[in-house]
Amino acid sequence: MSSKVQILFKNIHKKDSHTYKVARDGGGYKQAEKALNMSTEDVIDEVKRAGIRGRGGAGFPAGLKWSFIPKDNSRAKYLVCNADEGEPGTCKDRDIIRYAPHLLIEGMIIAAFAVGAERGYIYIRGEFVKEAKILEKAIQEAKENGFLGDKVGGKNFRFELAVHRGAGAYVCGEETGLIESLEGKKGQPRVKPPFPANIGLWGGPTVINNVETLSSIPSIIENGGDWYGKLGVEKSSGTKLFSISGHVNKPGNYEVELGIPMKTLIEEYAGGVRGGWDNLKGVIPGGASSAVLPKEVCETVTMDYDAIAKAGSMLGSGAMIVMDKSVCIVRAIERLSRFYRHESCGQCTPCREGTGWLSQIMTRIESGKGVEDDIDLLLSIGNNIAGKTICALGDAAVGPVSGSIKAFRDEYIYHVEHGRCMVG
Amino acid sequence: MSIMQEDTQQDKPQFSASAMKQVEEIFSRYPDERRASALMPVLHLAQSEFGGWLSRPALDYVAEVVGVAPIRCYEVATFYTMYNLKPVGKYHVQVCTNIACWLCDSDNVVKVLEDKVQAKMGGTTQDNRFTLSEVECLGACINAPMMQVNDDYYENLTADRVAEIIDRLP
Amino acid sequence: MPTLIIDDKEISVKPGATIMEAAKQLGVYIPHFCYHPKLSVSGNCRMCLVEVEKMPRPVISCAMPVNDGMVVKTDSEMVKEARKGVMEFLLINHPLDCPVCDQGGECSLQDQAMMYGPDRSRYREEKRQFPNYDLGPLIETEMNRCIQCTRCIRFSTEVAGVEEMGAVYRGDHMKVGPYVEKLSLSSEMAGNIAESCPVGALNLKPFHFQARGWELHKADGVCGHCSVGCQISNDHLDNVIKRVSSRTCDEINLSWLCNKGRFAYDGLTVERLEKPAVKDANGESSWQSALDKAAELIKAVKPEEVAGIADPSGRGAEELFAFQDFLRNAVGTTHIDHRTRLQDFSGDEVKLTRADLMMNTSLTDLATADVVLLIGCDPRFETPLLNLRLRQASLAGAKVFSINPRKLDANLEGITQSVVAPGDEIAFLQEVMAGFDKGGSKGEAGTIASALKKGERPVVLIGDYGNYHPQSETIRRLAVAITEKAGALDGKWNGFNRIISRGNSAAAQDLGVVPHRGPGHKTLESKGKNARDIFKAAAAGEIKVLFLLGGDPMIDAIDSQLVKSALDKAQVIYIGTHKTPVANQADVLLAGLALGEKENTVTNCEGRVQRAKKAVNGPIESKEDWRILRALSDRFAQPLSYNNIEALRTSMAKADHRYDLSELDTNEIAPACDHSPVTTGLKIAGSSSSQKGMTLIVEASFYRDNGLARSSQTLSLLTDGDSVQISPQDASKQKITDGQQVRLINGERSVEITAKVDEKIPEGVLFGQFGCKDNLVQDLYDWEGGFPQISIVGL
Repeated sequence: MSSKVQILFKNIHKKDSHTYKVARDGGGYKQAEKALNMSTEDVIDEVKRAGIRGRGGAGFPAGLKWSFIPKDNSRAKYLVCNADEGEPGTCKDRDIIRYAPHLLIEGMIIAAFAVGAERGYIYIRGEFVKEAKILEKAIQEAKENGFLGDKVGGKNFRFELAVHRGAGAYVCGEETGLIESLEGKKGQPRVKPPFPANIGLWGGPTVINNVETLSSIPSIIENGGDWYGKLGVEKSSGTKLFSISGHVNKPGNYEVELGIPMKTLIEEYAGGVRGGWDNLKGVIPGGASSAVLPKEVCETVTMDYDAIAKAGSMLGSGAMIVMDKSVCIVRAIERLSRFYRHESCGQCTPCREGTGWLSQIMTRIESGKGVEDDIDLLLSIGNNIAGKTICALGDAAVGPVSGSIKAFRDEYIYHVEHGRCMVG
Repeated sequence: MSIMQEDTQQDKPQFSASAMKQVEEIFSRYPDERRASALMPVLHLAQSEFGGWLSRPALDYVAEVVGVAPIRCYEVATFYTMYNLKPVGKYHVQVCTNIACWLCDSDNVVKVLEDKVQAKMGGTTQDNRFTLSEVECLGACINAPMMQVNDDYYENLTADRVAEIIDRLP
Repeated sequence: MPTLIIDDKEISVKPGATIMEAAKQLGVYIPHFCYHPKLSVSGNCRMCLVEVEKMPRPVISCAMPVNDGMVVKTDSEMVKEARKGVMEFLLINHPLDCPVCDQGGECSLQDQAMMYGPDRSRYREEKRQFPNYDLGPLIETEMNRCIQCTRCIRFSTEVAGVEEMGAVYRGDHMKVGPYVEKLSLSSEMAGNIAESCPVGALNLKPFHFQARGWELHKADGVCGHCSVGCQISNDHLDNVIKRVSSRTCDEINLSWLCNKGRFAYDGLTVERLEKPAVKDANGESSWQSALDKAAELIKAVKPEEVAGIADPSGRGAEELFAFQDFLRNAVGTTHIDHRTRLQDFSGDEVKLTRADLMMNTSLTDLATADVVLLIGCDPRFETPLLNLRLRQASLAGAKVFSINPRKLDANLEGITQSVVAPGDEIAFLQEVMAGFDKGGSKGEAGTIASALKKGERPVVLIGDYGNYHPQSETIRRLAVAITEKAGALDGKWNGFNRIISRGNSAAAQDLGVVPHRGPGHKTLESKGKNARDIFKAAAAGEIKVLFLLGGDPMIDAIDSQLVKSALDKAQVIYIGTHKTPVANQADVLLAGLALGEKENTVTNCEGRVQRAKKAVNGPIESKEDWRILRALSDRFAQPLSYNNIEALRTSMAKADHRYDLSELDTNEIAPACDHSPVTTGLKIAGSSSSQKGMTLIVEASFYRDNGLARSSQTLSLLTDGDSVQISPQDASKQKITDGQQVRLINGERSVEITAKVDEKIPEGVLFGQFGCKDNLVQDLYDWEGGFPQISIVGL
């Protein structure tokens, strides 16, 4: 794990890296051409062997997801790229889109070929107006160069790709909410089963993958699944983009192999914690939905799916929000609770009512009107939400609250007792 | 409290010929029998064509163009935050105050902005030049704090930069 | 068949069934709010969470398909905790106003709160407030009580096919409703959204604050407002029907009712005939004197100078049977009919079977049809709950074609509508016929023929326009021939359907309220006069006594001028319930009872026989119609033989075995379409020539189609005033503007009425409606003259 393998960001520092010409000169679409000469089973097999897990947050193995798509051709199948990057702290897909859109398109061609989809959509969050334009331009270029359309790469394979812009709804990052939105409806997640692999977009079998996942595919085809599988650590193979934000000296997106110690990542890549490592209070390791890890845990934890889960949080989208000692945890979580309340789709009872309730209590505590029971009430409400909702937004809203109470209960108590924060 | 937006007196607007061409292009992205999928992009288009917001007659018009029931259009327009159901100023300034930006002092960005244009978050200046909104994470966290003015992102903000950006707007 | 265990009990269910369905089969109740067996699964309320072994989280039973070997617990600690949590969430923003809520006592939320609700609230925040909507005269809203289950949205969108309800905004601000603050719901089935609302958010406006659920007594009834015969419950208190609700019946109305059936009940207490009366008798009349007078009138003339006209709508089979029995056997006349809108009586010349006269495809089968042809039929406003089956078929992919004089306001997916001018229908149907032959027909008729040919389960439906057309028998025979050509008379699948929308007409056919057949479809030696000839003869002074049972031919019959002169000339005996124009003119009035006030038998359009129970007493001096007839018959040499309803029913069952319901179990329903075969090969007459000038069509008015509906205050709020509809082209030709008063002229006859310009009306045709009280457009119809040609003058 000593080598600094760059898969996604390999070419992004080149001038005009977003253009077809620069991408093609750097080997772009070679892997699509290669894959189109393989059998679909072999393509899926490589991806399976690579062991790549979904980079959007859920971490579901991509190859397995593809293999769920029915092989028969009785219904039209669809490939959808989830570019609805909205998890607070996450901004990695945006860089792929801005600097390596052809890598994404190439990954989509390979995926579409593997599962037999003739139509694909990139669902991009509505606020990324420029990014959507870059993608549209790249799609146009790919079309002109024969990599999209009726005969992709000159082969007897048809693949149409279009961009669909969201309009401001975090829940559309949930794959069935995204499908609903793509169908022109409110982005209210669907009850599962059935899963999209069976009944997805317009009732057809549908694969939905994150931008980063799809953009990793060409390298898997190039070097083989085994090669990719050896990157990173057991059950967390490959490289991953980490968006490091908050109180670090060099915030940014960094591509590293999974399994890297968190401390190394922060200290060596992100320029260290503002005021030095000892000024660290805690890190939200995988986007806003993941529970905050206190400094003690951050000392030793490694950045892979299992290790973070074992530490009581989740790797999620790999968005690390670093907080130094000046941060009031209650206020930070209050802001996140407001976010989840605002983003709840309103469909199912526990999330609709529960996120609102959590947020109101958090605001009350933060503004000095909390009572002692409120802390346990938050945990109890969280319990009544978690695992009982249609989609994961409910759990996501609970994670930060219950996680922060677990790690920083004393701050909550101080807030309730003194009506104000213990820091600053 | 009113359920829907207040402004219902407006006349039904209509797309120009060139906007109608764009509508056709949008339709072409989806299979013919799945035209309802065009609802969101056509609403985006309508918003930019009809002065930055969607009146109820505008929503009815979009429903008609796309071929869905008006209620389906109301549902979508009210569900997504980017559709403005009230008039907005020439510049819609949206400040992210979610966690990553907040950690990097977005509070100050809000304060500077409010002082600078003399309007509160959620309000519009008297000259209709600015509407200020607080928004959720816009996905530029590594360059926090940030704000969006109409379609453009402004990142790595400082108090000075905010003032400068506002001043430089045409 | 997957087998699973629910609460230690084993059960096998059909593949694809959900845990909820399996539990129901086992008799295990799983609490729920958003789940409704007749709507799509939404899975949003989360109340039906259950524990499934080997699954880490509770799952919703309404959406989770069963697997073989599944072990489900519906009452474990995990489940109880989950339900408590959901209940608490539902209640935090729900007002504590059960004491003033219409739903109180019948509320799912209230019931479940008793089981799983906390005894005090942990919610210290302010409760959310939603504004209310004005949804028109049927639905009262109290949106703070809404639990966002979306049943009303799913009902409107899926079942009613009217997309008006939705949920706007999101999160805890998500508001259910139409978004527009004031919107009178346009669906003819809108009342169902209140009935299916599990809480008191959507309430029945006419029932608002009228009674508490637990005080109401329920009487199982059968709706008589059209021929579908929906199962209803007449919910009453203090001898007043306070509400009509649906009973779930998978064979007929599923869980729904149309607005007419649900809301007309208030007409029961308006403008009632309270007691018997004799014209010109000063002051009060007793039953004794009224019956004596009636007998005297009848006896004063020869039997063949007496004729009877019945309106089956609002009457039970018992009364219809007794009516013809009295006239045929006590009086001795053969002039009996109920078909006051029929113009073409040539069908009486041949022996038609029961299958020729009604439906042969059951409602349940109708939903599985793959091609539907509507001939002069507007099912949505003739028989709404039948239309719902057609909608189900259309949603499942059936191709639907309409041949009508105008474009229907239909909610059938992908309907193809052929607008055929009055008089051109026969030629058009003949073209459809030709389309089956080699070479076929081109155009719309050809498309219909090839679709019918391809269909596996095609159905042909003739409705009111086809049934009352001047050449209705020719149309009927053509429809039979087309059905036969489509291969839908092959014994396995019978797709020929004649739908008379008038309630209980099937019983009138079955029980001999026609001049050419006796009860049980028995052929008679000597035929009497049909409805048209009865009125003609009465106007000519040949019929001297008209005995009318219910309804009002002045309003309902096709030629109201002829009816008027007949009533002027003859002595009139009227058994009825409401103060209609004919009641004012009758020489003897006998106060009868309306549906809901009597126990009776109703036969629906499928020929299915059902019994309804009595809910309330009618006006204190009124009597069941059959008892009136029985008492009257005592004044004749041969009185009716039955002294109680059981004996009457025995006689009726003897005449027609389908009316023998004694073999049915309590929960069983009599069979549909208990008849065959359809008569084929009858000679088909030629086409009448196309009409010139403006043709007038008079249609039934959905909310004013019978006496009770016309008396209902609630329904009156749903109808516009009397008008005649005209196309924009004709309007501009005649220089007539929308809302202008016009005079319609047909020779000697003329009517003044408001003109309404309507884009949906084709050129050359005017549409008027039956059921108007003052402006009787049917005055312009000559019973024998076919479609009237009208000239129109703006006033």
